[in-house]
Amino acid sequence: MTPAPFGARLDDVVVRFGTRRRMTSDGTLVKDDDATALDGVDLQIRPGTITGVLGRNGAGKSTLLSLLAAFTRPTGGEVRVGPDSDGQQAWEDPWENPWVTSNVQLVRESGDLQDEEKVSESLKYYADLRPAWDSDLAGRLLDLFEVNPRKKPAALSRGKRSAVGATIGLASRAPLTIFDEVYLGMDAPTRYAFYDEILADYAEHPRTILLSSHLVEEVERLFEDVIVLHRGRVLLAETAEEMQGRGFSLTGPATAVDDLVDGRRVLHRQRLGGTVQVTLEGAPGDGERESARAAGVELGTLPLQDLFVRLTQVDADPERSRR
Amino acid sequence: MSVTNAAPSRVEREAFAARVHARAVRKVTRYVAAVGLFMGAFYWGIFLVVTVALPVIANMAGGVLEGGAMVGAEYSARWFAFSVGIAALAMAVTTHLAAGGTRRALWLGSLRGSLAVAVPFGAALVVGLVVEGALFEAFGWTHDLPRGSGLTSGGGWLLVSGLAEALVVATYLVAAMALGAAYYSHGALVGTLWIPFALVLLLLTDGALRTGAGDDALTALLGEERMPGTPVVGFLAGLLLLAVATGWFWSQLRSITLRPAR
Repeated sequence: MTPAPFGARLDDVVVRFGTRRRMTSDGTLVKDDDATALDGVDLQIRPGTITGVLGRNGAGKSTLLSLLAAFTRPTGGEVRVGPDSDGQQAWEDPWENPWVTSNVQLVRESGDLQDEEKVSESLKYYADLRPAWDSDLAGRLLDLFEVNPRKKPAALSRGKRSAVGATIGLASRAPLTIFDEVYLGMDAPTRYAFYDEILADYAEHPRTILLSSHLVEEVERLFEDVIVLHRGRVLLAETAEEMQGRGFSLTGPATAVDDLVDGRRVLHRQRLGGTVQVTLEGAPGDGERESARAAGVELGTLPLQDLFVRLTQVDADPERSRR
Repeated sequence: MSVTNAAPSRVEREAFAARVHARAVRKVTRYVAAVGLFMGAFYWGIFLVVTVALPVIANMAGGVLEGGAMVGAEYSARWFAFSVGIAALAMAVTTHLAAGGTRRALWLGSLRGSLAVAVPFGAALVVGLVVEGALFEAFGWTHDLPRGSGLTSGGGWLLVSGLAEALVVATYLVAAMALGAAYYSHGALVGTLWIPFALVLLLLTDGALRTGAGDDALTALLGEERMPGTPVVGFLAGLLLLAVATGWFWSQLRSITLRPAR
């Protein structure tokens, strides 16, 4: 039995880490400072969607994702994960809950592999524990990403380790599959192959996929929903469509574009010779569409990256945001 | 494998959870047992070869031994098991939790795996003692050093020694995993603070089952007439100490979190 796609809900979730010293696998002593990773997060993740989780470094993305997979526990608040049941949310606390943890696969950049064993041994571990594991798919993906499973993780490049993580996430067929920056180290062809595999497998085996990435321009085409975190709080959580309605772009001759801007808030501006592209906040009116067409200015959708950059740098540079 | 988009009923959900939990426990049991038995096979293989080779070579050279290699095996096998326990947990914990296993499954599987390793360790000790004893007898030598458990010197000495060794090794394995979990869970500082507790626990285990360096230390401190003097009391005390190690292991493992990767 493979359950329906899982959703998740977080109510007023707080996660604080205390200071501690820990030993890394190479024997180095590392000090982790105390920090509030999540600060009153309220959020709902729709089952059966691909949701992008965006945020700057230290925004709390990895901590949020770790909560869903019961890698860690909230200091305060409530986390619930599970499938929709006849319109009711039969969602449960994931902590020490085998029903939830066996159906949630979080793949982290580190890969979470057994360092002293061959990659194939780690995959066997996942295969033995994951109820819906697809060994054929795992084998095919390892071939696609050109990973030799007889090697130990330490003998693999960072990109190849990431590819193993991508393989684990896809082959798990978990109703909630989470990729936390697994693209790191992958070259462009591998990344695009990975994105294509996500879409193909998602279409064939519907589930909920969360994707955290800094390469916003590359992955935004995958997103149905988007969550933006900033300094441990949710800045924005809505559908990609709603997000795109928050702005639009104009591309064309500088003077014509500047005329059309007409007092609107500029989210982003870039110039190449006589051509300018600006990203503006809000939706274009019918008159603006006509004027743009007449002036030879191309009207485009809001690049998610521009909105993301703008949203997450507002309080860092308030002067710039007013300009 | 059937695929359904309908959310399962509570009964189906509980049955599913029970199945995946049982699978996870079995996996950890097999994993810990495989690591322990693989490493243990090397350890005991080398010791058994030395156990045979040492008296044979000494006899060929015309010498006489007061004690064989098994004395050393008795003292060191438990510490070898201790290091295996630390390694086995460290190798399994991250992948197990990342693969959807629970801490409870990891705990239960580790306990079962420890027992699966401990019993062959006890059996290997018995084999070594028998082989060494036979060689000493064949060469007409007497064994002057203490061997096996001091709980009895009667007819069941070999059996008691084997069972005592198995119980000691199980406790050392579990204590090692508890200490490893403490380091993993709380970091280097708090983890180190648990070392004295582990040493006292293991010292008492040695003393309860009358074997190893801990027994020597307690005998030197308290005298030969200290408790326990009978196998029943010794094994009950040993089981109690194993239960303490087991509880300590759970207390460290139950709250383990995987911090964000860096």
